[in-house]
Amino acid sequence: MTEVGIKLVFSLTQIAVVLGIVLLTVMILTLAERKVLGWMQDRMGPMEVGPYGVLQPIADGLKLFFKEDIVPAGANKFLFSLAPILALVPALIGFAVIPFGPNKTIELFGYQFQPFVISDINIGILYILAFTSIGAYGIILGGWASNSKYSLLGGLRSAAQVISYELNVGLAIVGVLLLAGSLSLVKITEAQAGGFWHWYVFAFPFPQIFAFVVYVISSVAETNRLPFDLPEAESELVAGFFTEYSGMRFAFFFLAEYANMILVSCIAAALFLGGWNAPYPGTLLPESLAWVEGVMWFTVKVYFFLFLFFWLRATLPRLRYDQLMRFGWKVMLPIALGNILVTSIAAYLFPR
Amino acid sequence: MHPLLDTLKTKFPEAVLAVQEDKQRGDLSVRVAAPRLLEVARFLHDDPVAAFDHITDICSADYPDDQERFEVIYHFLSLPHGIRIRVKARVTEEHPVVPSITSVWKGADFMEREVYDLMGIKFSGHPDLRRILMPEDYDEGHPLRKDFPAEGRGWRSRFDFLPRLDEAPVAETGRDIPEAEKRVFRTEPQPSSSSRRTEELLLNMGPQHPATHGVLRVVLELDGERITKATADLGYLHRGVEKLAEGLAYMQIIPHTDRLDYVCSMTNNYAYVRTVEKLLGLTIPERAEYIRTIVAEMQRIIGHLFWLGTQALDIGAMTVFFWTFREREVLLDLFEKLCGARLTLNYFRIGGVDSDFTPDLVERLRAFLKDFPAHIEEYETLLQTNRIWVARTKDVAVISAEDAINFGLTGPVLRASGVAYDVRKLEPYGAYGKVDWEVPIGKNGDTYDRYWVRMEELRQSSRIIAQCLDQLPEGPIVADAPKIIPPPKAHVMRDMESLIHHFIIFTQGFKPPKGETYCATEAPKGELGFFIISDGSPRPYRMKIRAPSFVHMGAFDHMARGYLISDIVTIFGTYDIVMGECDR
Repeated sequence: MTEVGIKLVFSLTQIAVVLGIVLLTVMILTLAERKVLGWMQDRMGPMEVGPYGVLQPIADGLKLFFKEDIVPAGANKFLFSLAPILALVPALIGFAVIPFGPNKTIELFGYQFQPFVISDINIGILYILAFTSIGAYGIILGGWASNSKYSLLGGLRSAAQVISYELNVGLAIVGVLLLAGSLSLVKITEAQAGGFWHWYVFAFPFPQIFAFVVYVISSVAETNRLPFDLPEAESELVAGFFTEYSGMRFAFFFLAEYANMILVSCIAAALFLGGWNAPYPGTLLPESLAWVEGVMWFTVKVYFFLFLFFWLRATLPRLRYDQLMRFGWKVMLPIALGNILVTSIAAYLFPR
Repeated sequence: MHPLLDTLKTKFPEAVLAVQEDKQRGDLSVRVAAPRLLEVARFLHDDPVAAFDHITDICSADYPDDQERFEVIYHFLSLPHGIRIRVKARVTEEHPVVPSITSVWKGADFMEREVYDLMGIKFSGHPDLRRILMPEDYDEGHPLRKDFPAEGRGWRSRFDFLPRLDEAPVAETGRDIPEAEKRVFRTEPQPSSSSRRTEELLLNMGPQHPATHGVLRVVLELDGERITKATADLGYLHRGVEKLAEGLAYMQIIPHTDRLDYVCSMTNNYAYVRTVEKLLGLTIPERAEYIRTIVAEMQRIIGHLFWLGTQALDIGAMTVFFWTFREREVLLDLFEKLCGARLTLNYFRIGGVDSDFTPDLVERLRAFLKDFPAHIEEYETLLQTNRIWVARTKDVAVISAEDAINFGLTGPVLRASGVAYDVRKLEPYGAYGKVDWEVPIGKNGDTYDRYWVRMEELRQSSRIIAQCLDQLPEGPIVADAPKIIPPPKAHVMRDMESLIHHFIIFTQGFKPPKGETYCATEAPKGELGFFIISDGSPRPYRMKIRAPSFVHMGAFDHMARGYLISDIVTIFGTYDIVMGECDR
């Protein structure tokens, strides 16, 4: 086999594994969300399918799969079909640059491979930002192509919201980039090794705690979750941009939303909370098993964020459109800009 | 005679045809000549002697044998003086026109439309006289007229405007609604200076929509996300309770009142039986009064919990909904224990209540009251201390005290605007005069204040219940009036007299004296009033339900204009609207 062939096979395997894990996580999330909400709201959550309702996601998936696929009269068929794909693909494609575990290489057939990241490109974070912006097109087009006023309003809200909050996501990250001096997620994570005081949330010379808060809030807004779920506000717009969608197309939007949640959680973990690095220096397990510990810490951090999403949903009411805009532009943006200013001064005064 | 009636007689010697004071029931009524109604109405509203600033209801009655066939009956309330007045005007069948009083009371808008819809009386000068409860294209006449059969008009297929069941529905795809049909939902077009053509978006909300609390339809005219006009379209749940009541004996109507405001059926029962008792001049035993007060307040707690949960859910706070339903469940269980039902309770009887409290029930109720204040605080930690909640409710859907009174709003919606009008204080009934409680008053009349008033009412209600339980006297739970109240089953089987009464009551029904009366009760949603005209027969000649939800919908456009789509759902929520009551 040629070099290209081996590398291709390895990469495809990696992609299959990562996609499998992401989709499995989505399944777990749908159940976990309902269970967590249930516990917070003094009820049981799903209990019927399987013991304690653990098979509920499978039942849901089957139901969606067998549902009739309806295209509303007067809808733009091409864009109506394209929109769910445009929403899902960018959400999944972002996982290509996420480092799930320690940056070590293994040797197979005489070639070097990085097992825990599909592709360690040196513009990793830019790549993710670029693709998540495309995801917004899925929502806007879906809203527009449905030929429904509720969908249209949902799509419009989404356009405004994603633009406002993506800006804040981008600016919040800049502080970290200044400190790390790299756009590669692997390098950024590596720079945070050696205990939690090296994580960029707390790190010297300027803790990125403000950027972290801005990032978390903006990423909740970007994934259209409560309290920022205006594009799909149930009580106002029925279901917003996917009001007219059913069956698998609806499932695509649904998958995209959850995949996006996982993606932003992964980025938050990698950029601010040290990714695979443990909160203590070094590892507890022997060198050969250190990767287990790394992957575990990464998973714990990601699930912490995912839990935060559920928690917010159980606690907070929804913002109004104008309040959302005001909050994004008048509160979050100045904080993010101020953070950049102070961080760059700090990075200049205390160069690594 | 009441000085006000004298004043009216001397002031309008020609317009006022007759005045009457019903001393026994405490009702004042005035008959005026229909063409001069407006000036009398304006005097009643403006003059400080009268100051009838609050419009309660407009009702109509049909007397087919009289020369002047139709009667329009207005009920006004003077908040400064605390008195009610009934103004009546007669019109002929050939010329059924009454001047509209919408220029004096804005709340008359919807009420006059209802009279027009159901009785066919026209109101000259009304800005938008359309059908309101019946379908727009209903051409079968006016259902409340006596010559309209109560049994209906035959099969579904007889009505052209209803889709036929035996034919496949006509596919209506891509049909544009003609501009003429849309006009009623639009504001007056503004002359624009620029050459660009702009058009406001018409958004149809409901009758199937997650936030419209039933089958309410609202057509919104939107400028971006901002509402320029909100037109409520009611009647999707109209089932003609008033017409039905005309064919039922007084006792048989109680289950129908359950289904008005199906969230709070106890208070509906209460309002109805109180009116009949007022008509009969019946006094009921003290224990029954206390029990009635307790269950009415339990129902108020249930109603307010239901409101709080749904309002919070509309605004996006999911958890509160489940928490309030947890407490509601406890009270529903108590109702089940008390009368076997949970929702449509049918617990009240004319002259008393159906079953007595058991010691176990009292104990469980006390246990609930002990925990309840802590639960209220729990809800408040999720809402009142939450900045998003406060931002979503403060300064949203503000209505001033003057406007609220003018629209005839009642209940927490009115009290949040700073008007201390509560039927329980103004005309104390049940045990409300004997216990210590306060009427919470808001300041700004916004959604937050309405929220706050209702939260305080939860506390006041539990206070009232606790005191009533302490004071609860022993004694019978139904009045001793053998001609009206059916005797206990055991007696029917033993003695002759009871058997005869039982037979008469259940075959013919009891016959109240000829007369008419209006009686208001403070329901969780506002003033629920029943107006009954009795012709001495065992069935009401006319029964009018003054439903707070319906009156509140009259102010909807006023409150919604200028706010955003997201605020619409908070306005639905803040009214605490129930369509079963609104459409009747």
